[in-house]
Amino acid sequence: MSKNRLRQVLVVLLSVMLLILAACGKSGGNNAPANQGSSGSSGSSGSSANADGGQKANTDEIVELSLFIDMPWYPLKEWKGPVAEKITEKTGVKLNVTVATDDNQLPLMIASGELPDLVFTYFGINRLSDSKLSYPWNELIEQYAPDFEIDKTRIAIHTMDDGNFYTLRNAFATKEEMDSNPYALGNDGNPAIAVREDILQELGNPPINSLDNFVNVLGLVKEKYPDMIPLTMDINWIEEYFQQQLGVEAAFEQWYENDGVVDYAISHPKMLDFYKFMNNLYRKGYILAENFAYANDQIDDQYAVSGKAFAHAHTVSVADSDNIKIKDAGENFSFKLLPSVISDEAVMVNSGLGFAGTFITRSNKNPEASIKFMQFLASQEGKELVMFGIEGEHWTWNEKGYPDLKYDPSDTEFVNSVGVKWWYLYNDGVMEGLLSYVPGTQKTQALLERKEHTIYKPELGLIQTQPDSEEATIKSKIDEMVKNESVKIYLAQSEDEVVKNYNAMMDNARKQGLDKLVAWANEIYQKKAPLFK
Amino acid sequence: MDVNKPVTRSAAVVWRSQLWKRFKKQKLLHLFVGLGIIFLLVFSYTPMFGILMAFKNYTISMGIKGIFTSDWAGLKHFEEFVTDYRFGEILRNTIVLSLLKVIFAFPAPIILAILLNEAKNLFFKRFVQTVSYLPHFISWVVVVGISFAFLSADVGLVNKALLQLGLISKPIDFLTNPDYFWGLAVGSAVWKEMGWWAIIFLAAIAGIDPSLYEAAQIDGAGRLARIRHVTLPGMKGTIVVVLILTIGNILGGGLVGSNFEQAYLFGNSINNPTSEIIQTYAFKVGLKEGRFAYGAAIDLMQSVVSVTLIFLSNYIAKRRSGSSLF
Amino acid sequence: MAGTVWSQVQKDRVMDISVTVILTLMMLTMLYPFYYVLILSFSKGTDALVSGVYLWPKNFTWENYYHLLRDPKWYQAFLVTVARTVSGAFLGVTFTCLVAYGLSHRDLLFGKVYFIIVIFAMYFTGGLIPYYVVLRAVGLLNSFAVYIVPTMLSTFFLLVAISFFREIPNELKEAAHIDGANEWTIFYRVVLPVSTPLIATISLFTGVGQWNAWLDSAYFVQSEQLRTLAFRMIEVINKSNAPSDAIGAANSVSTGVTSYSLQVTAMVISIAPILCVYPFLQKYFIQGIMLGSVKG
Repeated sequence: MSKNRLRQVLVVLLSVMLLILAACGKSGGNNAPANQGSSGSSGSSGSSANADGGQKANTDEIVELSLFIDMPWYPLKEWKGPVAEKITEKTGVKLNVTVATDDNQLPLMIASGELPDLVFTYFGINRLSDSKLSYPWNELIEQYAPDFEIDKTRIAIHTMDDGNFYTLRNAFATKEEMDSNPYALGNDGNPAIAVREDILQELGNPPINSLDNFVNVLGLVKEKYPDMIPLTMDINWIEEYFQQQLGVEAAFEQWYENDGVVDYAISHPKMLDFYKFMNNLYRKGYILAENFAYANDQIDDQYAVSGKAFAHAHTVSVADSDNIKIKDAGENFSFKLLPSVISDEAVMVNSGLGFAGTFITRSNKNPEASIKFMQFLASQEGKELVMFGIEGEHWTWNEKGYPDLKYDPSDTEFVNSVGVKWWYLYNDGVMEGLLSYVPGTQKTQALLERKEHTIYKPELGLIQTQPDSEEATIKSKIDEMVKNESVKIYLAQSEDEVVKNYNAMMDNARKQGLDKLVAWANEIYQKKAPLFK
Repeated sequence: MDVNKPVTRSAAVVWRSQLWKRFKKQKLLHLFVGLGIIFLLVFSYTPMFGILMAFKNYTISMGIKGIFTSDWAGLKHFEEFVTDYRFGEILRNTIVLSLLKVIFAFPAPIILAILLNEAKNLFFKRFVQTVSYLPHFISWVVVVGISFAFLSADVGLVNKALLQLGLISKPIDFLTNPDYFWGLAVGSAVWKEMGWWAIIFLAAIAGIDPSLYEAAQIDGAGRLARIRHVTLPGMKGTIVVVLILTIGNILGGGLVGSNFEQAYLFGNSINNPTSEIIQTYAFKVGLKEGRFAYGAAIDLMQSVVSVTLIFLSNYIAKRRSGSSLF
Repeated sequence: MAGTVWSQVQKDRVMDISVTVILTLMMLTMLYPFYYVLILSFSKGTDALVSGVYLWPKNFTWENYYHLLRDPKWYQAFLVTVARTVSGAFLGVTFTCLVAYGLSHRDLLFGKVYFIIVIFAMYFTGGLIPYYVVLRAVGLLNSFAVYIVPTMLSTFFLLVAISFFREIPNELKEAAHIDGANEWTIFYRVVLPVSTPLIATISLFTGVGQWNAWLDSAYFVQSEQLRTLAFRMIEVINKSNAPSDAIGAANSVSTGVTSYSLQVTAMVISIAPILCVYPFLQKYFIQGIMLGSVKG
């Protein structure tokens, strides 16, 4: 009966394991958000009314708050490292971090009513700016931190229809702020194209200072190097560089404005020129049809790094990062960025409002400590600490006005272990820009060029659909349609077909409710634009 | 009903007591089943209150209460989906893809199981069978990734080989041509899941009494005849059950499932006219935006279709083959 | 009858050869991609897609494995996953078979009603949010039990098992009845022992499901000690998936590890233990009976 005996042993083993793990599970779980109590130090927080909101007067206990980061790719998931420790020292707050595994987690938390103390998100900003779900910052500031000063522009941007604001997005800077510091640059969210330096040399170094030149060079490459792909593009960055050079003021899914009237990107007068341009590239064989169907954003990188592509379209860091990979692989060719502006019609409009914001949810057990925590992060000291590291130890100011870092900001191991930058639950664009300033890199050069040409229109960024609204549905359907139809236009067999398909697409958009959407957008714009004056 | 409804009162009493006697005799069986029913009531039926969402103007910021307290929207979400300008195309794509999978992907594991059963060398049998289920474990994301290396019109190995051999003059755009999507999807689904589902059929074959084979042989039946008269009938029950369940899941891709993953991952702007199916479209314009009520309506529509098909196919199976699900 | 015997042998051999050829071809189409994936896991991410790695990695590296397994938390995750696989499969098999046994009796009173309840439960769902709420109400959230209790009954296998049990010759069961056995004894002593292929199959499918599950670990569990191996892998893969325009995310220069190469490696790590355990189950449904050998 050994089979039976074996079975019995298994059963016993299993039950024991089950019991152990069940016990482990329930008791060991001290990371549960929201419902676990932690010391509230509301009594002892007689903090000094310092203008920079820094020092926390002696607290006997550290406040532990749970934080949910709504970005699955986030590089940090634990509150540790010198920067985190310093923040705790200054604010008395320790964070219990959970990083999202996918996009469904936050909606699940919202619907089931189990939100943690703090949520850091960008997709969920509109949803969480709701008094049912979060504390309005203005109320908390009035009650607990009346010395927390915030500039009018930021407040204006984040004020909802009910008159409250529930968060401040990080990574934002007004035009004045950016202008005041020559070293404050943009970030990686800017398009660029890099070309093979060595091949350019072999072709006799033809100048590339206009779009026509560029297209001609692509032609030369195709002729002399028939096995190479003249231009390969990252699936997320196919359009933007060219759109900007051709004077299309808004990228797909965004808005542009002229004389106070707002319209959707696809209606822009130069959009058809852009489509014709792309179609021309395709018909001449400079871009592959397959490029529009790449299933991920690494295929183009590999074309470039393995030497099969002449030009590579991606972000401003494309040349630098490709070159590092190429060296790693032991090859010796390199990429060089094209100038940021190669056309007289180029227009670069920045309508960004920032990146992500932190919310103090209604489940928060210590709103006072929370708002003061944000206040510290917003102070000059807090901003510098978070973005650069500990002053003296990791960096110092130099006379020119940007920080001398004692480490390489692209050294991820170091950056993540110290906790530089990624605790930017609140920070601003100038600080981030300063971190981007690494003299000598192509990226910095490109960003400097861009800075001169960028026009700021944050009012346009305020045109945002509310979740579950009719406009949101119309917009998502039109956007989805444009994605598919655009490719048909790029791959048309003749310029006439381009025009035909474009008009058909516009008709379709109108049938889907484009006019309604635009009317709504203008309404919002009229309401919000004055806030910036 | 196998018991005629009684007409007179006394007959009714007798009938009821007979039923009760039967019940008592089977009480252990009812206990076993009852445990299962309770389980289903708790984990499947209680959450069904979420279906209400499909008929309401619900947003998640309303919380759980909101499912009950939000306004009725009637058939608004359903209407929205059905009147969408792409509805016809999406419906066609979903149905064609699903039908193709039933026709090609359903028989494949059966044939594989039979072939494996016919192989004589035990080591060969076990080795091939083990290899056959390996693709099941390669996630679709990885499959799509490696398919680029093989099927790309530009760098794909298959195209390079075909060009070299002179069989084609210009690369075939497997991954982007709308005409190839269905073939690509069905072919890759068969490749990926055939070996895994064959296991069920192998188990069914393993349950066939070996003496039946001997008897057939003695009667002079050759290999093919034995397959037809012993193996297949021996698998009939399992085949019918799995077939009915396949049809029930037809919108999701039947036995091999994965309609959504394939359409989402292999689908792109170029093959979109044939690759956009109900689930992916609903995802892109609904769930990605967090429109749970809309998503619930789409799910509900699919559920109704599934259950209807199940009852229908069960009825047909009972009629045609005598064995059925219930 | 010499003529007939000859052609039988010939037919038999033709059959054997065709079977072997078909199976071999099929096997190659499955073996090679798997092998390809294996060597991808040992390649630098940057080599994978375009440069034509086909037979051997261009630059052999352990990088991907190191990246996935260096977090000490994965040991705990491994233990948790093993525990849930074994207990989940065991629980799933026994419960499903028990219920199936009951339902397999065609003369069961209310049988049709029970079936309809099962069918509707299979295809109608309230969605993620109500399910979560029910789990919360029942107290399963954030416990090990949430991994194995809600999955105890697989409606698909319930139906498959029912059809298996119905194929079992009635004589066996009747004989036991006559001997005075009750349903439980019949189930345990008579039906189960002859259902080894079924049990092996359900164990395999539910076991693999448990082994690869990460969704419940993500949504229904917060305690770090309870996370599963698959969840840990998804975490690492997510981290390497930074959107290229996520502001500042591109600061990190690729070390040769890409999200794609990590996914491939995670897949190899997950399947390795299954490959080890599989042969033990395989013998239950691959028989060594020599069929079709022509008797002299």
